[in-house]
Amino acid sequence: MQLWHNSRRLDLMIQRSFFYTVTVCYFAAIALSATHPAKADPLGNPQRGQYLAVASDCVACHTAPHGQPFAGGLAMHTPLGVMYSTNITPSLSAGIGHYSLEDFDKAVRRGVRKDGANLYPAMPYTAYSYLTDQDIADLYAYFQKEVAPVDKKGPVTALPFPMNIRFSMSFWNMLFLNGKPYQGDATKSAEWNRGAYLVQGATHCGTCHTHRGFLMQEDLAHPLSGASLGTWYAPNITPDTVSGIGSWSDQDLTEYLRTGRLHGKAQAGGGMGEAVEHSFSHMSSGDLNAISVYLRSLKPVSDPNDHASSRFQQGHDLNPSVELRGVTPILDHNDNTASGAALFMGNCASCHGASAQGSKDGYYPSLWHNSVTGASRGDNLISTILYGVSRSVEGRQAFMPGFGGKSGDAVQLDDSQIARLSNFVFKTYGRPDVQVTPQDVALIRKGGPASPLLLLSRVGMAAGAILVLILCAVVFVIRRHKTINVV
Amino acid sequence: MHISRSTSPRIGRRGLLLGMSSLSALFCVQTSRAAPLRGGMLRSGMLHQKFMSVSSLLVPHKLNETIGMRTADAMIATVPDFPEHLEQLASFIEAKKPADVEELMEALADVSLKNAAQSIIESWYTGAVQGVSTISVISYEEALMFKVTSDVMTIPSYAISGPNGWTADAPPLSQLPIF
Repeated sequence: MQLWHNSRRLDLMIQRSFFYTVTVCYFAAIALSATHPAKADPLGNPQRGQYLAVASDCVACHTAPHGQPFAGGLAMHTPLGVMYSTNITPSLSAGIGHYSLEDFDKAVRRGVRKDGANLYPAMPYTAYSYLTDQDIADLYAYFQKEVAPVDKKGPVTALPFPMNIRFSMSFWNMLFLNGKPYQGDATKSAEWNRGAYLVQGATHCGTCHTHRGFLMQEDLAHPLSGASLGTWYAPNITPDTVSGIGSWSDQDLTEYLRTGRLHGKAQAGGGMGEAVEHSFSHMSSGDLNAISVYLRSLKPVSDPNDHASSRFQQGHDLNPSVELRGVTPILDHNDNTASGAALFMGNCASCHGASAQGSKDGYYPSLWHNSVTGASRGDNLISTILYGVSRSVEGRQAFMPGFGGKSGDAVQLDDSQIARLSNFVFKTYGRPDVQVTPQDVALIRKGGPASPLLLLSRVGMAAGAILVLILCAVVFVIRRHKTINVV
Repeated sequence: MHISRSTSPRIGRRGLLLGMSSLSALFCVQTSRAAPLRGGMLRSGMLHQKFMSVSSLLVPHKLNETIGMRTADAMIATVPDFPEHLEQLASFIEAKKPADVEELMEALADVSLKNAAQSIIESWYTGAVQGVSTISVISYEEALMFKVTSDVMTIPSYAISGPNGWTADAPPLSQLPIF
């Protein structure tokens, strides 16, 4: 299960107020003009740097809920333990004020701190390694000149042994770090190249959407074909017409990226909601088009679990109240006898409609023809119910309360209630063969399964230590034997 | 500018609401013994089929089969002499073949049959069946009285738009929602 970088987004459910009042198109125009700079200007352009910082969504991780922008301190609950993002404001005492351009470059593209210690790949430096020298100079100029310094150090990441040995990351880097900036493909259009550069680099789509291998490296054989983030599931965004988004037009895709929703198909929740809120909705339409052109040119990856049936076309309207009203007595929401249908009527229907048809203006989506209920796995429905949705775009907030018991949740449902409700929703409005158990809900409530890496590396080390002890003992016995013989 | 106006008679929103309320006013509670409400098992016997076919003439809208079965159950159980009245209504319609509900109501001479027909209409619109001393709630979300204004208003306790969103576009009154 996955990764460091993304499970953190869960903790960002609370809406943050933002400072993006920039006229994005202006920066986009500058940004568009310089994908392949002949020679980097070491002074950098802070405005272009700001656009790149937005496109790279630095703020998502490097800002704690209600915290100062870029001051770090966000707790990311990863399969390997809790990690805290760092202060990247130009503060001399707590931030990166003392970083030179080279130091900054090494951190962003090579994953190495100024003091020489390795960063964990929770920082997507593997993606940022595709940024150009000019990009780095511009980002550096932006962070040093435009970002307000915050002299406050956040909590320090202390992963359990052996993951606390940061040096081990250099081996990981040797295996998985791309070493050079984005290399254009002359056979493709400028727009395609711009899209490829953005998707592989700044917007780091693969960080979430690409399945990860055993060592948590991205599986580059099937890029962007969907991956679990422990809680949310980043779905397949290859152009496959069944498993991916092949049925979407270019306009559909850019509308989704700009607004976070596509009527009758999908809404952005979890990490994607944040990516839309902080990053995509501030990007130029040219860049969104380029991303769309590139994504739609990728190799389609089909998932046999989808049984040739698209997640966007499952289910239809049905009103469960016609069998409940006047038959089922009025229940308290804590009543454990409530069926899935009763839980739906009591908790979901007042917004999503009695037939789950959603509101006419599209504010509340329908639960049928919806990528969450049409998915062939329950992760996103469970996560939506547990954590809710909050996504602010262009001054409008899309909001759904969670039902997992966080502060602000009006109703708390337990694991078996959520399982019953999810099964009802899948069966009635979505993919009917998806089954959700209370254990599935408990696992996602906990933040997803822990990585087997920790246990395996410890077991491996213990085995190694035992082996060394045995070897020592053998050598000792042999020596002693020889000594006795000599005597 | 030329404004075309439909020459065929149409039921407007206001007319329909007025008609409904006058129908309700005509309805009177019959006096007889009350039968206890039987359990919620749905049946689709001859009586239930007759209830649906009579209903389809009385209420010319899309009628939910499940609600129909449950309404028939409740009416048979709680409205005095309802099975007999229903049989007579069905036979009357079969024999006279009235074109619509207005024609039927005019042709019905027997007041008790008229009352029975009106109580069927009332139950579809209100979502409840009124017995002598009981009211059985059958539906709320699917009660037809809410459908007339469904293009503007959602029914109480259901959201129109986002949190605290109470505005909606007002469609022209001349276009009655199809339900």
